[in-house]
Amino acid sequence: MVHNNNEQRLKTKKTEIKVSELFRQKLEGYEIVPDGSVKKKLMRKLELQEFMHFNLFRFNIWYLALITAGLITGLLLLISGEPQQEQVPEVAVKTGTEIIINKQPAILHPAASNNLRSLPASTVKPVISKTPDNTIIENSADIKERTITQNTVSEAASKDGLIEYQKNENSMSEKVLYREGALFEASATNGCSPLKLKFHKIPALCDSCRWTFGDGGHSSESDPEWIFDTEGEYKVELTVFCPQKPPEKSFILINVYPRPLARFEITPENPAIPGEPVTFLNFSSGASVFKWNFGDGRESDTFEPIHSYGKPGKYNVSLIAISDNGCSDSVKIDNVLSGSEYYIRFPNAFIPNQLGPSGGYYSARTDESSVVFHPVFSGVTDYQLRIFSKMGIMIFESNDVNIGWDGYVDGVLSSAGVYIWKVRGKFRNGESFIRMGDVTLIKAVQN
Amino acid sequence: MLSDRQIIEGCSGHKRKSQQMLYDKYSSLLLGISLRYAGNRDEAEDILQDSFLRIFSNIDEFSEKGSFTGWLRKIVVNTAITHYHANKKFRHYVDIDDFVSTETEGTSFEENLFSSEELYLVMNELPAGYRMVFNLYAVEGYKHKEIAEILNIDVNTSKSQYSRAKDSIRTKLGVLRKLKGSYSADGS
Repeated sequence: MVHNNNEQRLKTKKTEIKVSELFRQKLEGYEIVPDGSVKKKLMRKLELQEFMHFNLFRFNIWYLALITAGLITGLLLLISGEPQQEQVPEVAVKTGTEIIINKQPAILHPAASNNLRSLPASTVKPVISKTPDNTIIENSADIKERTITQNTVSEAASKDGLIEYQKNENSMSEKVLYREGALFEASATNGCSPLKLKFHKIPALCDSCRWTFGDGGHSSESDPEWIFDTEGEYKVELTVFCPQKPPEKSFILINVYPRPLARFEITPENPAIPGEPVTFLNFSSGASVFKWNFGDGRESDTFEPIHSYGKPGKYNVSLIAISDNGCSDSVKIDNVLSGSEYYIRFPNAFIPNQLGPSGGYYSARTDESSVVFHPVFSGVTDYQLRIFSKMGIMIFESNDVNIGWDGYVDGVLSSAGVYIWKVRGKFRNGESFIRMGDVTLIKAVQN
Repeated sequence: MLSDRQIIEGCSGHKRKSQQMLYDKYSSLLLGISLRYAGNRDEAEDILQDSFLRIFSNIDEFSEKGSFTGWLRKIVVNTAITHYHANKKFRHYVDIDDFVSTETEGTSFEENLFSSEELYLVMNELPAGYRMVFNLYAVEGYKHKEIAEILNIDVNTSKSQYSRAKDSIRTKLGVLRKLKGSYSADGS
């Protein structure tokens, strides 16, 4: 076969060219007709792109936005054009710093308002008692607290899969403060971002109202829901419009605490199990308390724990990071030890040295010409390689991963062709492997 | 069919008809180029698509002085390079086939022994880094210094990658030739 090749090469020698020229001549102007779907996709993308850019003569997103804005303003005008005629009950309203009694605003003592601001929801006391007018003192018994198990936020986040927000029972449970006489009630006054709150306007009041949420958002629904995405203090204000009366205002301060971030990595990535301890590197931020679960029944609350696993296996490790405000985040890495880079791969051809057997020793650095058939591998402990001829006869065996086949059997170079190999063994993490394949023995052309 | 000049004018006015005409006229040639840089057909078609988006949005920048095909070709090559950079982190591995680097310089091949499809196949099997350098140097005719700047690598890296790519290609072609040789021997 080799001889035949040589002959052919001699025959066609005149038309031979170099590799780079071969590719340039053959491929420089070569045309390949693309699939029809490519054109369709391209045209769709192009339309989208043009839709997103302003063009005076083409319908695009700017025009769409303009039309939508126009429609919404029109609707708003229609709604506010017919205000509801309703009787307004005489209400005394507690609203942070402003108190409106029978349309007469009174200013609350500044110290009192500061107090109110710093108090968490569950401890809001009727600070109003400090006001000069005794008629509006609220009885603390009038504050009815309803606990709502509002887990919508944490549930939505857990759909994310990897990251699961831990719900916190203590400070974050949402409560509705129902105030007799206030313009509205809120489902909570503090919480972790993203914080979803429900507001409810006392129904007896005039229907026309406007909410501002302190983050630029507003609404004219009577019972709006609002999500505060970012941390901060927000002033939620409700203005009620009644016919033939000046508008009434009421506000409440909402505290949104930052959500911490739970992140970790392990080192070393491919520990020898059992024996080598695994260090859990903590990359969390904004948290002060940490709870680790190593997935083998053991737990820890140190910042960066070191843990040893007794046997190889699939361990799901989770970390909960909790901030000073009680906000928490959690992260779970499934099968934490499987990011292993243990591998074994074999080439599909090799070219033995025709000068004589080498004993199968090789080093990955010196064997660039691949005179020995051997794997590239990482983390292999047990190893058995067997080579079979096409007839199924075993012609070579090695129990040392550092010794491959040099192509010789009993000192005689095997003939060129395909051989079957089978390998079995174990990686350092205890995982066992069995691989099979074929390899072509090539004899270098001797000129 | 309209001339290039008319098509370009239409494209610069965002006329859908002209854009389609431009696509129909040049997509085959440009896919031929992008397939040299990509690892597979899907990636090549992605590059082709991005190239056309770039072509359409930058058509005003084409100056009448140069050749239009040359300009298109350059955009495809640049898009392929952008893709290469964007996907680089997924390409840390070096394939085992690459380990084989045998014959020394001076090996040449019969011009008509291999079909273009076979050459594409050989090209696609190369590791992405080798493929970029080989294409830019051998086919596009860039200098190693330019390649080093484009790919953000050392000049010597470019040279060594080119030589390794060439070795790898030679080996692959050698195996291919061997296969072909045996076929023709059996067949005739």
